[in-house]
Amino acid sequence: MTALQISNLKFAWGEKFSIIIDNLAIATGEHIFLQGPSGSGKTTLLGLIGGILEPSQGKIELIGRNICELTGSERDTFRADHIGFIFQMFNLLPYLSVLENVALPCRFSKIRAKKAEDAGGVKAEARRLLFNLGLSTDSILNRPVVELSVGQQQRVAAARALIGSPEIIVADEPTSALDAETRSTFIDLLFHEVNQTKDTTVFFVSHDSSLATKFSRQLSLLDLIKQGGTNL
Amino acid sequence: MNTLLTLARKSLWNRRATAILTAGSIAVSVALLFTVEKIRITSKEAFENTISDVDLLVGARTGGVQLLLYSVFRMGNATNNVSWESYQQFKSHPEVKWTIPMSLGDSHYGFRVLGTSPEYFDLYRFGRRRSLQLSEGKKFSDVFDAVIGADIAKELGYDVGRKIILSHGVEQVSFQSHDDKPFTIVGILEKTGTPVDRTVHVSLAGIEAIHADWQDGAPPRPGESLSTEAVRKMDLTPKSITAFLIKLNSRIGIFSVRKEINEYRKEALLAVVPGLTLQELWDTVSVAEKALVLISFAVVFGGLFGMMTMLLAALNERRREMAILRSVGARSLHIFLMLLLEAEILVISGCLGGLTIVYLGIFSIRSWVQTNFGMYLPISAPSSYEFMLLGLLVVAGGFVGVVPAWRAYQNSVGDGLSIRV
Repeated sequence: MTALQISNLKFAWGEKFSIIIDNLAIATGEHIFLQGPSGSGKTTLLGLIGGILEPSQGKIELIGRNICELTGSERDTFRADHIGFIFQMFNLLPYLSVLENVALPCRFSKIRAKKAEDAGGVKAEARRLLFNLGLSTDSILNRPVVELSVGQQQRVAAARALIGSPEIIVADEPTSALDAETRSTFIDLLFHEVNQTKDTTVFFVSHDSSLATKFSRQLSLLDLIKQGGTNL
Repeated sequence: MNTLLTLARKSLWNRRATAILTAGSIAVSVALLFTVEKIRITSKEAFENTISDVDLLVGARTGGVQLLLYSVFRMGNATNNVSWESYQQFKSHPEVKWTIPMSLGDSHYGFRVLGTSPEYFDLYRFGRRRSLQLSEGKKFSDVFDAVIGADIAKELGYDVGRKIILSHGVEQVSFQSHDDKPFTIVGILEKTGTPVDRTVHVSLAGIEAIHADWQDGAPPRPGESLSTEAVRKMDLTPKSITAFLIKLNSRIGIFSVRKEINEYRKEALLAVVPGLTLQELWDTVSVAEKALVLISFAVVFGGLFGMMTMLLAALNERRREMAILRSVGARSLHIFLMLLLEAEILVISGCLGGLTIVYLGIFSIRSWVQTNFGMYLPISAPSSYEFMLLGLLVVAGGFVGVVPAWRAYQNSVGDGLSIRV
């Protein structure tokens, strides 16, 4: 079973910029480290996987489903149901509590809400994830998210990506705002949680190659993507 | 939807400084709209309640509105009078229940003097068939007795027992006064909120008495003026009156009696139905009121546009929020709806705030308005028209909200999950 299969993909952004990926296959449960400098097409690739961008050619299959065949709103639903995102920083909605932030995906995806319910309830599952990610005290759970440290915020964001067990986790430079030690701890905690089930696939995008060894497979965006266009 | 409502509410609360100001400006505009509406309805009622329970108003032939203005509102002057004989003729008409004669033309410091019969105090009705009440003293009985309205007593500081001098004509400063024949105030009426408050009431005989020694509308020549005592002995039956009110035995007769009066051969008379003519008059004076309503609607639209500006201005700094929402599974449509809900929350809280202001306002000034203007401000649930206005505002809020919602939708489609700082 492949988590992701990209074939003969071409994406063009106007006339100036395009990327081409001939073939990329990733098996379920793999932890992929995608390395590439800024401007290497990272954002575009994540946009394509997330179903935000549509390729002009080719096929993107996620857990056996060709998302290019879906309509815009079907892709939105698919993303909500099967992909958890963690971004660089300021991932959280400042006006929601820690627990509300973590539970948010279950509000938009019935599938993830059901999975969380089956695991013992959305609230309990959110607490469990936060506990496993090292945020255990109740005082943190009820504090406004803006009062948390950046490291704590990223762990809340990770718990939010993981709730309702989506098949794919996409992490876009989640550690770049953290110091070296927190960074390592964060990845260890994330993997510890992801490894509870063997079928969660992780895409981890970073320009920091020191983290690469923690992953089962490393890919370089520069090798993967053939860039077209001339002006960039 | 529930989730979106919670998110919209919490997101707004996160920006509460601007959100409260925006809802506040909507509240003020809604309060203005509703106040204007209340004033409009109350003043229209007060206007239409100036005279009630009367079937016909009769005067010399002129325009219906003119007749109403000079006889009921005491504005302007009659061009012609009704002869006493004609009055007597209709007073004894078989279908007529009672009549009230009215004789105008004199004044006291700009306040009109009305000569009438003592029955006036029992028969005259205003508002919802309210009758006149004396707050002090009694009705006039002597030729030189006067009963004054509440405004006159208040503005001129008059009490029962005071002697007053009437002036010929209606100018504020009259050069021809009836200073040889003073009147005594015997009664003061309670506030009615109608022109009665600004009227000096005397008997028809009183009006006749002060003009007894006048000739052809000119004051008596020196040596020809009569003393009060001499006048008392004269026959003070008036030769003419300005107008009179008719109450019929049955309302069914209104149009036939009116026709009869209008076709009266001996004298050119005009009879109007007060209610219909009041309506006609209101239509002409209500232009100002319509302008007021228009302005308050403009202010409400100002408030709504302010809200649109506030929501649009915040969109750029909220791109991160939208991207986060999209990444946790919100669709672009959800973003659109969330912005629309924010607009509705602002409009609805603005409406509620505005209503609170209006009701607190009415509650705090109603007794003051009652004593000073004689207008009764009822504290009642919003009328169906006001509910319709509120509904209209909510719909308008939705329409205005579409602009930022559409903008946010486009942003979220364009930005996708990428967070732009």
